[in-house]
Formats: sequence, structure tokens, C-alpha cells
Amino acid sequence: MSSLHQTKSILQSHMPSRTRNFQIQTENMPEMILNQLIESLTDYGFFQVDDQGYIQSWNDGAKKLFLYESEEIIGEKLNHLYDVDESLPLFSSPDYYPESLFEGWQIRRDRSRFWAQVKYSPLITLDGDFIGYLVIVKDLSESRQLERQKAEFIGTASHELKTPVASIKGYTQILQHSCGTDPKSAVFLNKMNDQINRLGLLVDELLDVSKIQSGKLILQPETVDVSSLVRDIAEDIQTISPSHEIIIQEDQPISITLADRYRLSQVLVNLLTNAIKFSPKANTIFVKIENDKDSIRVSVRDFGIGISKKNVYHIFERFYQVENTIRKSFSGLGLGLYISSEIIKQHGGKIWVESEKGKGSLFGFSVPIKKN
Amino acid sequence: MTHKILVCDDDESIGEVLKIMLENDGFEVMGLQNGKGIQKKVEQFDPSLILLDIWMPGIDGKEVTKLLKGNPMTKKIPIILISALNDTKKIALECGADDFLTKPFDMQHLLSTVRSHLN
Repeated sequence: MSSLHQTKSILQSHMPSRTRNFQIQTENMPEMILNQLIESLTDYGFFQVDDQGYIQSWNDGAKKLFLYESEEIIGEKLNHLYDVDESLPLFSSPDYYPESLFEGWQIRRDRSRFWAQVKYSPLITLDGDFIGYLVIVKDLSESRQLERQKAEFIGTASHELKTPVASIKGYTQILQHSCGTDPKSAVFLNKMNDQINRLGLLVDELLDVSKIQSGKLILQPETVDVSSLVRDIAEDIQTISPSHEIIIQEDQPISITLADRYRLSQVLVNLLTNAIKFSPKANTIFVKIENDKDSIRVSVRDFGIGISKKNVYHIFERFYQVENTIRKSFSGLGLGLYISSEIIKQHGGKIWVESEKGKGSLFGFSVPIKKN
Repeated sequence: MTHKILVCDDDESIGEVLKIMLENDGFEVMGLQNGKGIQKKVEQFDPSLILLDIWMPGIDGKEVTKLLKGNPMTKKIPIILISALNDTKKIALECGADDFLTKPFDMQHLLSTVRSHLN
């Protein structure tokens, strides 16, 4: 009976909170009903093994997953269900029977494989004797397949969207170099090139969001001097946007850490272009680089339209843009700060904003100092 | 001396753009739309540099790179991989390519990258 009690508490810990009322009733549930409940859970394989690893019970979910009938498998050893006997360590130490959760291949009756998450919960009597495990098996084939499809989609979408952008950009640049002296054509071609670059950036943003959401935004760390990276990017942006003077303030000329150079550049470009975009009536942007022994902090200060208190809390959210009126005057998908905050989080750093409507904003981030 | 460049991209317009940009800059260009039989074509054309799309049907840019870098006859020819993925650099380093370009590429950047491997 104590193993039944254990089974109940394990079941309860796996139930979502909305079934809590139901859980309370299970406290006095007769064994028969509980067994029926386990039997009928067809989406999960539930079974018990004894302290030697012999299968003791088998529910409908286990039948469906492993294709063994109860009478075929009960009394057999657990290693029928694995390629290699991964269950052995669980029985190897007589004093230590941890709860364990792992993902791996499981073998069906017909020797075909499926990828599953398996949880072993030890069954201990009231006297403290270990009598086996309750095993819960969740088939992950579908979600694994979905993950793979997502990754493939990101790859295909990158290729399919960026290839036409690349060829239009290419033809435009060829024309720019061969249009001769017609000033009107030159102006139009420059505009075309700017618009293509804008389209390219939007495609990048959308793909980055898909990557973030499927956990595929993987950093490629290298040694980066953040200080010189900031100076390089500020210089590039200064060339494109001469309307604002970018002034760099730094206490140390070198700030070296391990970071993903491309991704960090993306954050800096985002913060600087935002600062320029949202301060059309100002002409100065301050960039400050500070170091302490643990981290490097970079902040970008503008004197633009600022953000109201109501909006400032949502500014790093996906697709978030402030009021409609502002959205009409400033283009973009509202993904830049979301992507930046995810990049900084992945670096183990922090991103923040201080802003006052009508006075301007300060966006800052920190990255920890890491060494090779 | 005119340098010969082999361009291999399954997308016709990218292939054409690369060809025009390089020819306008004085290179002799041969265009291919896939990596099939590339080894033989490389031996015949004897290019000074190869521009290769990573994402091609059949034999892809990574496999072509490994093939050419594994052959003593062709291993010294610089290979620049082109891809739409932002992690092209990592892929290029892993398969032994000499450099990479990310789509959409800039004409000046393309030409300077190509030239940097020819001197």
C-alpha cells in the first residue's frame, strides 16, 4: 500500500494546477480507481519495476508506446526497452536511489526506436525500504520532429528570402556603377539600394526572432575588445547618419571579454540607430563605456522623444512599439530591442532603460568579463 | 594577367550578378549552377579562386569544399563560401574554406574579399 501512496503523490506532482480539486479527492481514492486512472492514461507510459529491474505493471499508454501486451512484458527485465542498458546504474547502488529524468531512445516490441523522456521515481516503503521504481515515459518523437522542422524552416526561409534580396541588391549596384552621368538615375538607384538594405534587415530580424523562439540563437564567442567595437560601429553609423554627432566617453581604452562579435555589434547598431531615429530634433548622442572587474557596461544616451512610464516597462517585449501616432512616424517591426535583450541575456548580461517622455532615453547593457 | 574565377551558385540571378560584378572588375569568370562534376571542371578551367554557394541541391557547398580541399591538385585554390545564414563564418571554418560572404553582399566587399585572396 505504501507504494500506492507513493504513486499517488508522484501522480499529484505531475498534475497541472487546474486539476487540484481532483487531486484532493485522490487522497482517499481506492486503489482500484487509481489503477484504472493509470491504466487509462494512454498518452504516457506508466509502469512499475521492482528493486531488481523486473517489470511489475504496465498501463495502456505503455502498451501503445512499446507495443507489448501486459502479459508479454510483466515479469521481464527493464532492459528489453533500451538499446543499451541505461537503467542499470539505477540499481547499482543499494543505498542511493535517486529520482532521475533523462531523454533517450526506447525500443518497441518490433525493435523500432522512439525518442522519449523517461522519469524514474523511487518507491520507498514507510519503513524506508526501496522496492523499485515508478517509470513514466513520454513520447517526444513528435516534438523532436517539430524542432527539426523549425530549424529546417529557418534555414530555408533565410535562403529563400535573402537570395532575391541579394540579387536585387547586386543588380542595383551594377547599375549604380554603369548608369553614367544621369543624376536622376543615380539618386533613384541610391534610394533603391537603401530600401533593399532595409528589407534585408527586416528579414534578418524576423529570422532572428524565429531562432530565439526555437532556442537556435547560438552564440559564437571570441575575444572581443568591446571598446574598439563600439568605436568602429559608432564610426560606421556616423558616416551614414551625419545629422547627429556621436560622442564616446570611456574610462579605459580597452575592454576585453569573450563575446559573440556579430551579435554584440547587432545590439550596438540597434541602440545607436534607435537613438538617432527617435531624436529627430536633437543632434548629439552620448555613448559611455565603463568597466569594473566583473563586467563591461555600455550606455547610449539620446535627447529625443523619450518613452512614457506606461510604455517603458514593455519596451523589450516582442513586437512592442509605443503609441500608434508614434508608430506612424517611425517605421520598423518593433523587434530590435527584443532581439537585443535576448542577445544580452544569452551573454549572461543585463539590458536596461531610463527614459522620460520629451527628454530622451538612456539604453544600457552590461556583459560579464569572461576569459578564454 | 587576368585571374580566372569559378562561380558556383544554383540561383541563376545570383550567378549572373557575381559574374557581371567580377567581369566588370577585369576577371575571367566561369559560372556553374551546381557542384556536379566540379572537380573535373576545376581541373580544366584552372581558376585562381572559387566562389561557392553553401546551399545547393545535390552536392552542397560544404561537400564541394571538402572535396576540393582534399585533392592535392586543387587544395591550394582559395574558396569563398556564400550563404544567407548568419553563421556562414562557422560553417566556412569547419569545412576548410578560406573565407565567406553573407547574402545580401556588398559589391565593394565582394571585390575586396576576392582580391585579398589573390595576392
